[in-house]
Amino acid sequence: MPFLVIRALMILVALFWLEKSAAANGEERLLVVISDNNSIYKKFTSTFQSVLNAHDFGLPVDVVTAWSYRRTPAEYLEKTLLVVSVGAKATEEVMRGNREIPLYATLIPRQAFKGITAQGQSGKPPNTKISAVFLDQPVSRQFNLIKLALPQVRRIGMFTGSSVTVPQNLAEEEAGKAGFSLVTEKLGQNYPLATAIDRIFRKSDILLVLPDPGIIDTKTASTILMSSYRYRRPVAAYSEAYVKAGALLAVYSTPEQIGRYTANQVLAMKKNHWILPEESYSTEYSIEVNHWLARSLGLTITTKHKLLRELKKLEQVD
Amino acid sequence: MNLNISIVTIFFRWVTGLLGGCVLVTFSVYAETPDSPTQVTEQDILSDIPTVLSASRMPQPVSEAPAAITIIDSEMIEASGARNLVDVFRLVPGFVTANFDGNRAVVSPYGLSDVYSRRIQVLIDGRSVYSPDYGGVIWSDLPLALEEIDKIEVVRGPNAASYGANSFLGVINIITKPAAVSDGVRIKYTYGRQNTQDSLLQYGYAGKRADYRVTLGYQKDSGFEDLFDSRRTSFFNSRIDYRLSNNNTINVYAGALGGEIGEGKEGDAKDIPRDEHVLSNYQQVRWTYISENSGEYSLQYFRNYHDSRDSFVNAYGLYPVVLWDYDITSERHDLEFQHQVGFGSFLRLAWGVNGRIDSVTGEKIFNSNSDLESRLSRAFVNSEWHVGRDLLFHFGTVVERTTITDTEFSPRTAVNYHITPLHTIRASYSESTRNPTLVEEKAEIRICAISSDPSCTAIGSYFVASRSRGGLNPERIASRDIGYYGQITNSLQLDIRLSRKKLKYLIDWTLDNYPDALDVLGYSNRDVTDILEIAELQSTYSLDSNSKLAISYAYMDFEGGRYPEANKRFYTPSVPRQMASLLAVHNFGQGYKGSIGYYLLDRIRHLDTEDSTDTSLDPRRQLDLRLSRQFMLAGSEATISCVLQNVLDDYYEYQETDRKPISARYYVTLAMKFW
Repeated sequence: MPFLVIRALMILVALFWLEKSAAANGEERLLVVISDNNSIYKKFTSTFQSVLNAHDFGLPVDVVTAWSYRRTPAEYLEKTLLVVSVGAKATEEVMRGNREIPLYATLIPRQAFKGITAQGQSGKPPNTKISAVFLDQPVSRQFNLIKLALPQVRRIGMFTGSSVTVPQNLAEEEAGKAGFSLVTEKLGQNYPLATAIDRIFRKSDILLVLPDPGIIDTKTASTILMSSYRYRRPVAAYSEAYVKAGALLAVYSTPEQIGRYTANQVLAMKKNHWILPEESYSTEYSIEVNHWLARSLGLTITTKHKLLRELKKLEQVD
Repeated sequence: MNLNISIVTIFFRWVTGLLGGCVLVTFSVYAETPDSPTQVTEQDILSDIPTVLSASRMPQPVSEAPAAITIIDSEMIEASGARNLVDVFRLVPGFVTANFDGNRAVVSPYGLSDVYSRRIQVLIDGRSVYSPDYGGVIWSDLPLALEEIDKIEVVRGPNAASYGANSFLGVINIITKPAAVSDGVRIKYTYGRQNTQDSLLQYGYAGKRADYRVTLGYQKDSGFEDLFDSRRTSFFNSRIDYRLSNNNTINVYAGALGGEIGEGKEGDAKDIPRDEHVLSNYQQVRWTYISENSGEYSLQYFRNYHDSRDSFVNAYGLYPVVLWDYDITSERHDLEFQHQVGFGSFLRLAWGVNGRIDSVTGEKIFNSNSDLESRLSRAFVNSEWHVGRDLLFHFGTVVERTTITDTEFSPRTAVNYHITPLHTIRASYSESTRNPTLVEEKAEIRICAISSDPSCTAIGSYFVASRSRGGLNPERIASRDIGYYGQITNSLQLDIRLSRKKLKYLIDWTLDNYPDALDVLGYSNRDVTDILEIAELQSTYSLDSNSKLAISYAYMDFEGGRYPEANKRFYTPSVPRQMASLLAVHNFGQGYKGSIGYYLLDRIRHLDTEDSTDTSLDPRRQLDLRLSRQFMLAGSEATISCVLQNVLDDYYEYQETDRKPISARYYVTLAMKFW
């Protein structure tokens, strides 16, 4: 058995060398740097590549993990027309050395992208050769969904903390546009969860939860969702997983959707002399609704398909 | 227990020598460490939120469960440095783990056990692995790698209303990781003391419709010092998660284990050193349908198979050729339907029906050429009623019948009151039964002096080692609990419980006389009521995102009912008075991670060791250390870890007779993850 393992190991090592040397030579190309090689990024790259292939992209596309890229960035960047970095880690990695080649970051939360680019520039004028497709959703989209799904809602609750992904003034402005009043509660080291939950559910009709790694981890997520059930106040969230765990509804983009959207942006860039488009949110997204929960909260919500159609219509008008 | 000079010396020798060596090794390896991102990443948005629990077969947070629960997640399993699954149960308040030898591990809540711990139910992904022949769980024969486990939910106390008979003093619910998270290739190799050499190869694939994972493993060691308890087992385990549609999922699980396990001891004619050949396998399939209107339905079938070949010929007494035949085979088929549904906003329900056939063959164990069969049918219901915002009632019961028991009801009722959303008190009453095992009910272990009569029927041609009286009643327990569960601050959780359990008809050993044999081991119900009182505490504390602490403590008081002096058995010493555990994990950054496990167990005497007070084992303490380093190696994410177990005093694990104390051990593991 140990010999079998050692042999398998040797084969794998050999395979990795082969992969690397294959990437090192060749003509002009597109380089995709992925943060990790788990299923999230695989889903992204397979959709991304199949869309490019379907439109006869014509240039070779090399996919490399951030870890492999880190060793010999210069080698990888040679003859590369555009780097697509997938995820925060890959973006950070490519940002580190590269100043020449246009970088299109994707599948990255807006706040992470802003953080990384701010670090990278350190006061210098913004590098025009960087743009991004954000993974998260614009807060206006979240508000519009709530408006369409639950027209009776007036007050939206939101936690604010050190690393919350949407600035409070922007949220307030967008809430106003959608006709909501925004109720906020601070969360953090000196602001205990119990008090914040109690206050926010008392003062609002629905709680909008946004990703905030400083505060909303899986444990607090469970606490929030259970309190939501107890206070009979629904939670709107940013992922399908949240809805499965007990949130009422969510709007989100899957890695496949981001892959498709990014591929279309890249195809457009190719026609436009590789000039990067503006930073953008994906126009491809999904909606999930927990109808079972809705019924137990005494709410009636139309189907997710109808909501999606209406939301897209609304965004086109905007 | 005194910390004398030599122990200090040993301690420092281990720590400075071995652990230091490990540090050197981990430093000198060509190393690149992945940065840990400080901001929100795509993982934060795309990751799963674990649903919270299955104490009543319904997802619930700990604060709303009808019973006391301990959750051990994969991070704790890793940090504990456990090589064998049973080691992690030291983290559960009141749970005694002991290794009879290198192969036979015992996990028993609150002691009260011999080498077969029969008073706890164990499920792996909803499949009962409680053995139908001797009872208990044969931990070493489970085709399961620690790497496959996502989390373990341990229900402390009876839980028959959810999982039926034998969920007596607790239920261990092992939940494996979804196949999708094991994407890629993983290799692991462990080398350590007692000739330990474990290897593992795992391949996982996450696809559009289906995810799957296959694990191959090999475990080898020479067991305890001076005992014939070596192990050479290979196993494979697999899981397929198939999404038929948005609402339909099929999970398929299958695994097998085979190998040789050392048995016996030098100089014992009845138990000569030998290899037992074991083979176990299982197949399981579950279909889950989630309806938008009427809840979740699931249908599950599984089959377990276990075969042990353990027979030998040896001279004994005046007989030159005696056949000792302990061969036994068991098989289980189980079919279960379950429906989970909510009515309005106040009532949730999980109900279902379950049918099971256990068959056991052991010619010389049951003195029978045919299969022995035990059939079980069961219906269960668990409900959760929300009354207002802060009050929650649970009602549940199981009705079940087996070939060897009458129809039994085991109800449970609980009330949870949220003083505030984060502080909850719970009071509960729960009943359960433990069915007699086939061996307890029907054993007739005959040892044949085959030279005189190979058919082993004529009086004088055999010895009787054990003979059941039959007609045993199921054991009964009624438990009254009061508990508190609170999230004291964002980072501190506390769980306290007081429990009083009444135990009736515990099945005990007796010595019986028959015309063909004297002093034969048999089984009978204790016709007294025993009382077990427990006060326990568990707490987890996160200092920051890099440091975590989990502690547990239990105080137990067992008051055995009076029993006729003639065949008395001391149950009391089998319950330790106190036990405690502490697990601290720290992430040093740069890929370094360290953890410390400290475990205390009070004086204990297992039920099958001799009946005299001086055979009780002294209180023991164990200190385990683990240091690991993550780095890049040949394109893989590699982890090298060093585990030092039991760095303090040597101690006796199960009994003192015929063996040496357990001394310190080390294991070095290299794990690599490729994509």
